[in-house]
Amino acid sequence: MSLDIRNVSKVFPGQRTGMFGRGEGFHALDDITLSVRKGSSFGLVGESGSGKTTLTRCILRLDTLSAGQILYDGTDMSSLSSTEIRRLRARLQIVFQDPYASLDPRMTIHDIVAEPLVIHRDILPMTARQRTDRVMELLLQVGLQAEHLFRYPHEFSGGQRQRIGIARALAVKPEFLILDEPTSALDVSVQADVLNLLHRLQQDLGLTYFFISHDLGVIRYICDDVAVIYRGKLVEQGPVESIFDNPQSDYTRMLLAAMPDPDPDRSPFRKVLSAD
Amino acid sequence: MTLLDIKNLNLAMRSFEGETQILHGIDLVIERGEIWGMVGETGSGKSLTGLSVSRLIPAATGRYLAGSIHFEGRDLLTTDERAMRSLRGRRIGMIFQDPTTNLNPVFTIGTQLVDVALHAGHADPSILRLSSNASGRERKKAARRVAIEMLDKVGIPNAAARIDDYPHQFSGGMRQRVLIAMAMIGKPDLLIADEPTTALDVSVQAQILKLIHDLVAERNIGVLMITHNLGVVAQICSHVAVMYRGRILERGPVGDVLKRPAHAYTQALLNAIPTVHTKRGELRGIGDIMQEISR
Amino acid sequence: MTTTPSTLPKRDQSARLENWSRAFYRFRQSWLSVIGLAIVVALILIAIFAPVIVPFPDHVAGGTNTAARFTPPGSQYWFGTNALGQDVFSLVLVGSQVSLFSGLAVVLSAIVVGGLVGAIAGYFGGWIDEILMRITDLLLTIPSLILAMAVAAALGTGVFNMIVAISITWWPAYARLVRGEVIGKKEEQFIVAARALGAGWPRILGRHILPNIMSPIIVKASLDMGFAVLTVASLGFVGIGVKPPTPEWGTLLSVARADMPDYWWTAVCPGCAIFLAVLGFNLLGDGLRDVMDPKARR
Repeated sequence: MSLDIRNVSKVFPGQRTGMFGRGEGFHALDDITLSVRKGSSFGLVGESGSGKTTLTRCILRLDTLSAGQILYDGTDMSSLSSTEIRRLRARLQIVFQDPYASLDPRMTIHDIVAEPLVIHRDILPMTARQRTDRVMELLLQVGLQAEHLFRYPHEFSGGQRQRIGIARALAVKPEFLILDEPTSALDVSVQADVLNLLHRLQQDLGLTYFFISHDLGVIRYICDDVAVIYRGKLVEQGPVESIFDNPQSDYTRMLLAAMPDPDPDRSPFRKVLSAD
Repeated sequence: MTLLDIKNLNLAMRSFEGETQILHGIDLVIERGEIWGMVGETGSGKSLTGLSVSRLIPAATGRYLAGSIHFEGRDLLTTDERAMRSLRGRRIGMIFQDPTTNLNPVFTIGTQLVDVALHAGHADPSILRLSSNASGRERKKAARRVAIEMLDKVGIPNAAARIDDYPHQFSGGMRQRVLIAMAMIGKPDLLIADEPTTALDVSVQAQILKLIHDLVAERNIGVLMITHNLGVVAQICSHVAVMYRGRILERGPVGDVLKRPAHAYTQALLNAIPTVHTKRGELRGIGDIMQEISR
Repeated sequence: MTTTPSTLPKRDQSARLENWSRAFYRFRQSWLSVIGLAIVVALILIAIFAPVIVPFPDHVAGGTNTAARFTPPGSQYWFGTNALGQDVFSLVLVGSQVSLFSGLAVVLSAIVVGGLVGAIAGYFGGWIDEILMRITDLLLTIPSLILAMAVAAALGTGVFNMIVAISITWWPAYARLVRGEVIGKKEEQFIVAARALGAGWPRILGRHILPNIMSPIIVKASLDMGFAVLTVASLGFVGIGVKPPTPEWGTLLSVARADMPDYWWTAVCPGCAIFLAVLGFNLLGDGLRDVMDPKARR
């Protein structure tokens, strides 16, 4: 599934001034245009408040657009009926940033992963037994074990929870996965495992990724193309190598420079020290 | 005299499952002018080590099985709570991860800073630059002046005007600066920073790291920087201790440890970080490596 | 693709069991909560088995024994006897039935009505919220005792009318509580996750939000049980609740008023029963609050 975002803007209404007037609105997204090729990984880089979360919500139709179009496989989503949108939801899934907050604490792993199957039972009719089998299959696919089936989220580590989140997203066999900072809450060692898992899943299942992150290292590792967003505007976009090796905008250059490198010799402070 | 000397620290915590030992003989010496990075994964005990130094482990659940923590020659584990309170926020400053929850939303930045300054000035009048018999009003005025100076120092633009703002009017990076100002107001000799930049954007992180770096250079204090980010350690720390399951596996000057790690775990941690130079498929998780080591 | 192993793990009851024992462990940390729990359990057992265990069942049914009137507490009559020679101990035991069960009925109906109104108002917001909450506010302004008296005057006295009258003024508190909790939970990430999966509102509200806001409701219900018992007793005391000969703590107290202070046991014993019940539910509620505090979880 390919995704085309054309001239999308989102303005949040300003504060009320007096009885009828409103202050100037806040432009969370300003004329964003980008396209995600089928089967590729597209990275979206931005800091907090850049509008990357708003864009995700717009793609998922959790927010409405102020202007522009979002096209899935060439179809404008605003032209779809509510049944068609539900169908679309099944093909378009999301993995959230915080594995602690995105799983319902009162549900077992089985119920969490099976939930999309229950919701979309009209598209994918399954018996309860088939659902359980599918959940098992998914758990093994993301590197969890069968014995985890009827446990609760709080019994798992952050990395395991994120695997559960990935299993849930994969349950209805989607083609397109939005990954909203899926590893930023995890330890680096666990992050490496999850990134490798995502990479393997993409190859096995032919998924298209829309990967949101503020970590340039992670983007570089996973993505083919990248777009840099700053205060609701796209600063630059293109293939990962060209953007990272030859950034055109000051903002991208600043981001690259600010990224802490684990090599002490690259520290901006240490240069000062050695010069003393 | 050695600023901080942790010897053979053993800590056990009690919970539903019973008592489990969290720290297994931590040894660490921090001198003035050193920034010690303490790295480790979630649950490695790095934060509890930091909390032990400021004696903030709840007495109901935590129990020290052995060891000592000497701060300028004084054993903190045997110091009574009253004396500890005067050390905290005065001689030992602390910064935490989340700048939002550590500021009280109903008071202005100024009120909170002045409070800290007055408290610190109570123990050491020289902080307010007043004689000990100054009136309450003079002290308040001096405390406010000190607070503004400190905000200015941590890089809050127009500090004199912004001091009467509420925390929600500040961005995340600005709030962390306020917390650093709060920690620095008592002119501490030791600063404990627990993941001070984890919640912040990289561009803001760079500014905060520079701020901490400059404070150390200027005031010759010692810093214990607890973090899971080896990049941060490489940037500003002079020394690093690598923790795993309540033990320090490896320690030494940053250049040695990160460039030529002696322990396989440190090497594994370094291999797990995706940098802008990492090729796809090159990253390795840690699970398998530690299983091999513990075998 | 991975193959599915043929054997499934058993639905793991032990995980649930462990959660319970974990919760009870935290609960036990405070001995006051344990006392509260003990009192409440004892009260419930007494209320259920009162008709079987009372020493003088005929006194409960209205029988008198004027020869033994005003006997002080002793081995035969543990709590002494009243002006009619009835055993106060038997009356107090059976009196727990009316107090507890009408208290429970009040709290349960308040939860059902208030929960429904609050959940709908909180989830949908907008004008639905506006309308429902203004009605709620309106009802909150009516004092429950006064309304109960008005209902008693209009419809006659009786347990059922009393429960209805108290419930009418009690559900708005639950509506407010539930509305606030729903609004708070609505933006949680696992709710957004469910919406992103395509779940509709009945599923989100029933399957995700309600189970996650049960804790504060249960805590409030437990604390409210104490006040419900007190309110029922107050109505009995002023004479618009349960009518004699059905024993009820408030009524017993009201009748015994005239015999104070010489025959103190006639009033002190039902009074202590009310005191214990209210105390028990409050201690239990506080204990539950500690256990169910979501911050203590994880």
